[in-house]
Amino acid sequence: MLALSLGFVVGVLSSDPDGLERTLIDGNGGGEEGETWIDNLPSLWNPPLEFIANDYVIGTIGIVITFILMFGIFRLRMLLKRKA
Amino acid sequence: MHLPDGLLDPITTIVLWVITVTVMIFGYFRMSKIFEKEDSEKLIPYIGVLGAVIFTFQFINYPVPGGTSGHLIGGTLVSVILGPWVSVIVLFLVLTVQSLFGDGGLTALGANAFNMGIIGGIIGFYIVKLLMMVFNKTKLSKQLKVTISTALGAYISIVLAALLCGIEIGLSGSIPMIFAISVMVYWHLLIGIGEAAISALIVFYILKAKPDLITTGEMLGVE
Repeated sequence: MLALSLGFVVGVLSSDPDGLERTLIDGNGGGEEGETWIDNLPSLWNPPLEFIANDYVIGTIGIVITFILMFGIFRLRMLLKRKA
Repeated sequence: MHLPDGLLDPITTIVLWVITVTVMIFGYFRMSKIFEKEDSEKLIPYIGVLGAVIFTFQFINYPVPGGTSGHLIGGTLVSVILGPWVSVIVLFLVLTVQSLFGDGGLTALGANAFNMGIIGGIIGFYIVKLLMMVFNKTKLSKQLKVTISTALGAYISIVLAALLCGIEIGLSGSIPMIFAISVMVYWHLLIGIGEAAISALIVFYILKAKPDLITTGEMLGVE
């Protein structure tokens, strides 16, 4: 799985908008007008890690956080089940 | 397919949060089944790695003809490996981490988990199960049956998730309903090919290398 992940990183990365972004861009005038519309959507949420710009750093930090979160929650679930 | 904040109207957002939380609470109690085996402790780091892999794959966009890109959702993949109820929780946690980086909104997390976890995971799993009932009548090998069913299940679930995502956007009035549905489905008919191929490859590899990691064999009727 990791090899596949790595293969995708090295091989076929694309910076084009994904299916949803494309739909929203085309539905709001297309091109830059559509992209500006998405960027200006109102949000009260300021993503705390949004300042990280490097994709590889985001990927690495994200993998570590995801692993810890998954490990913690499922381990807790198992311990609770054993106690019950 | 990560909906940003501010796109969906409050009613759609709340309804999808309620559905997602309800399914997750139900899933929390249902997932105890995978911890019933004696060596289930070994599964936990594996679930952690699987979550990290889904995070990575969702982060990596592959090109689709026409200047668009797509990425793996992974709902059906996780549900075939760990079961449908676990997949909703795994997808929710992955999407939560992604929202920390600004990929998908926090208020839209319920909707994103609904589209990718419930439709991609639970519905995807039952499509796979249905297909397995058909393939179990054939003489194909166990690996091929599961792999082909996973590919088709992943493809159908992704298109279905895109359809529902289009309906949610249309209901919210961001863009016209017909436009949202038709364009979302059109692009995901293409993006789904990647979803199907990646999911099938990973399942096939696990079945070859360590088949006991697939915890749903009994549910899919292959044991």
